[in-house]
Amino acid sequence: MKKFSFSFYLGLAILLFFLVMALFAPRLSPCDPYDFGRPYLKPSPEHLLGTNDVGQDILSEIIYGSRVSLSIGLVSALVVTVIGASVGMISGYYGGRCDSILMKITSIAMAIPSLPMTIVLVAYLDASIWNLIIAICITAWTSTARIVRSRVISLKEQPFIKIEKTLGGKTGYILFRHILPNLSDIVFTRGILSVSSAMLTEASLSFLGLGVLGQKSWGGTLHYAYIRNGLLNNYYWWYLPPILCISLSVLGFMLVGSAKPARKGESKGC
Amino acid sequence: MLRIQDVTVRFGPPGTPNAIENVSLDVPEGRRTMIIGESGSGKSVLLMAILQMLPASAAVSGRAELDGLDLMAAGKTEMRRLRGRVVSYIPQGSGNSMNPLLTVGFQVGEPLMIHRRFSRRAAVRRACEALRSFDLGNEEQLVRQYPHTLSGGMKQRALIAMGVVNDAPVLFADEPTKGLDRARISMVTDAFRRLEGKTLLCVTHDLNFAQELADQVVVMYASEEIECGGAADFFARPLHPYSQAILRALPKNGLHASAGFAPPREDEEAARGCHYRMRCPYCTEKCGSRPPMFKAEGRKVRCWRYAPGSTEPEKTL
Repeated sequence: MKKFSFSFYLGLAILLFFLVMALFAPRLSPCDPYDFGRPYLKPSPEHLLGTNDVGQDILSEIIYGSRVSLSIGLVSALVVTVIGASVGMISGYYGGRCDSILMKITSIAMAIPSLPMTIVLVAYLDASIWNLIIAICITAWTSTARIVRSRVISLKEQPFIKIEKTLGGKTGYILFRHILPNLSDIVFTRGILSVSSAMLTEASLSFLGLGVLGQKSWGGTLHYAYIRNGLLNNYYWWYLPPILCISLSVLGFMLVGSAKPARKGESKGC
Repeated sequence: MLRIQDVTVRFGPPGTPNAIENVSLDVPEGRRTMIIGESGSGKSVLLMAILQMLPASAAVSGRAELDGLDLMAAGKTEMRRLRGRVVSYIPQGSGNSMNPLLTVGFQVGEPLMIHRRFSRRAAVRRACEALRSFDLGNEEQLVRQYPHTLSGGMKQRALIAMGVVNDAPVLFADEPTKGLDRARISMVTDAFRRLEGKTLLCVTHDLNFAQELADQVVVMYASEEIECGGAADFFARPLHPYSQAILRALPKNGLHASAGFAPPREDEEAARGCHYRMRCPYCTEKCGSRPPMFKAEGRKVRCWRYAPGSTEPEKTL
């Protein structure tokens, strides 16, 4: 029985590739990315992607960069999804005043332009990986909350939820046992999409020079390629790989996220 | 004995008509009581009001005493403990009455996990036994299946099993035969017959189903209880003109449609006095005021024709 489409497996393969890259970075990279050497070398067997302005091996930079990019993407997505889903579930299930307060907060968070807000936050906080995650998460949970809320509102009127109440189920039990599984598809999809948007935000911030200090990331490599004239001199081996990596990994997450798995309890549609 | 006293429910602001009005009835222990009446007469609302399952916006008053405990005055936490343990609710099997993403066994055994801290495995095992007592066939396989693989009749019997798995002494059932054909209804009837010793309060449209199971029948019409009494007497000789009309309309009684078997009028004029008088062939001037419940032939009936001292009503059925 075929459960997933080809694009899902393609996405999965891409993600696995980057995951292996991040996990085994010290073994995979040919040099230490922080070692200085001869600057502006062209690709050669010794340095497959050449070296940057301070003579660091670009391939090693890219391999190490996957760690920061992926970890920021995954952690932020997790935080964003948990916050968004919780707010949406509580708001939708309880309704009334609780709903209106939570939705007002959501609306306010939605109204804040997220990139400028993130830039301001990162500029004021130290440029550590955790602060970057906080800055990304602060506005990103809102759309998940909205979507989850609307689904919960329709779910809680379903007979099986009402029946659950007549069985004496506690609210927490009903929310986690009966409502959450019915939200799994949108929570999963939103989660995956949040990974890619968090990765893009991180890359944008690093490109602007607001990334994690002292750590290699794809956006950071791009930043230096830009300010040290890599683009002007058309050192494509410097600026192209990080762009490719960002695009490919985001594509991988998108492909996985948009695949609709056949849920076990569902009858097959025609 | 479940003693329901003066239960009144109103949806909407004061002044709007009551969804049910001063319903009082005694549900004898270990017997089957059927509430019959047309859609909108307030049958299900009564069950939901007793279980405190109506939305917060509904204005509810009255008492429902079960062994000295007023269910309708119980606090939220207490009521949650009572539901599924003392009073079980058996819903209709149609539509999404079971969570499509959880197995049948899990859901049937759920009251045990909620109230008695059964492990999932133990609960499913008990669910399997409960399902077996209703003859669903191949129960070991069934508990692992998802609700969409069950037919309407199977689902309804699974829901009955869910209602009794925790051994609650009082069962409420809401139209358990809805959407089923005669053969499935007889299976459901059979399932209910096996519930010896349980106090059953069941809402139904299905008069045949009611006749087969009921020890006591309650007829509701336009938010009121209009007749209440032993089932055998009721089906042999209904007292209220409305009861007579609905029984005459049964195929086995000749399928006599009459003006009396029509939806109640909801205008203000109809709301004063006897709610049925606009349809009633025996309407008199007296019917302009609301009749209380009169005792007649060992039953209770809300009709002026049975007022003490009134002339003997003509026999109709």
